[in-house]
Amino acid sequence: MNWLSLTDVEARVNALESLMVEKGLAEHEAVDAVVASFENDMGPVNGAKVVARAWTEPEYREWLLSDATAAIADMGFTGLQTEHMVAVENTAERHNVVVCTLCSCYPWTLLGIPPAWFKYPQYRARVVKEPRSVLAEFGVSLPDDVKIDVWDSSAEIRYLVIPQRPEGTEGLTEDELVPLISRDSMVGTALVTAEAAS
Amino acid sequence: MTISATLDLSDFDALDSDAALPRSNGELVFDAPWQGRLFGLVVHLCQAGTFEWDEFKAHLIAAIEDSGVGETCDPAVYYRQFAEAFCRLSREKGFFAEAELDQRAAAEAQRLAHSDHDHDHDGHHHH
Repeated sequence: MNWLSLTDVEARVNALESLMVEKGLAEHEAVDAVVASFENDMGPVNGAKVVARAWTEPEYREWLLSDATAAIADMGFTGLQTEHMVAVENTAERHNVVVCTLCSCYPWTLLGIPPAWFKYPQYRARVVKEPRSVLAEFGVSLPDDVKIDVWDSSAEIRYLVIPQRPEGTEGLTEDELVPLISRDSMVGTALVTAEAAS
Repeated sequence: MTISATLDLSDFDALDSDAALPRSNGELVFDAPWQGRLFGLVVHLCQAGTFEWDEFKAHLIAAIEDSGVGETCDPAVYYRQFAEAFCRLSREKGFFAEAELDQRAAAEAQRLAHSDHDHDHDGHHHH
């Protein structure tokens, strides 16, 4: 058997999925659903733990914002594709959303396997040009005075959005906050609400 | 958080053989997203009735044998064998023309290469 390089295997696997979808034999969303069902420790819960700690420990939040790579490594989440992380914080005035316009760079050790839409050309192209409408399509309608920053990932830099901590969660502990924090909220395509979105 | 029905993977495994899925403490192990997507694709196609798991498994066992690397618990090796098995099955079933796959894979490779070169992340910082 030919030992393809890692990039070639990845390319071939991407090609297989897109061909099977094109032939009407598979659906990206169905693959997403299978992937979501077996995601465990490598899933978005790692990212959620980072966010919950930032919400509850002001000093950790400062550290995360100034040196996300080190602050995340402190939680034990290191390895492939989290080498250089930047954390960006949502506030009442500013909302952040992450894209990879050229491919599909993604901090998967924190957020799990990327959803199919993250790779869709429509998302990659449109979120840069018209972030407000794209976010509205995700169900995130932001007031006009909220600025939107779009961060384009690269092989060198990956972004983690720190969503706003919702009102009504003041009494919750770090561990209780974790299940509220969805993958999409850490990409910027969802908000966190006080009730877990399930 | 995404919550989906728990999927019973026992139908999609080959326990106690070289073709068994790499696991750690019972959990599936992947060390790159493409491995998870590939596995997800094959499970989805089985569930959709496109082929039987046993048909795929026969190719997987053969691909592992041909590679000369059995009993691996390294997902990077195992899922390469897994990809090879799926390519062989696709060939047998005629899901697509071989040239289509080569062409598409070449295009994907070029796209992925952008992540290492010419990837200007400062140019798209919009408000």
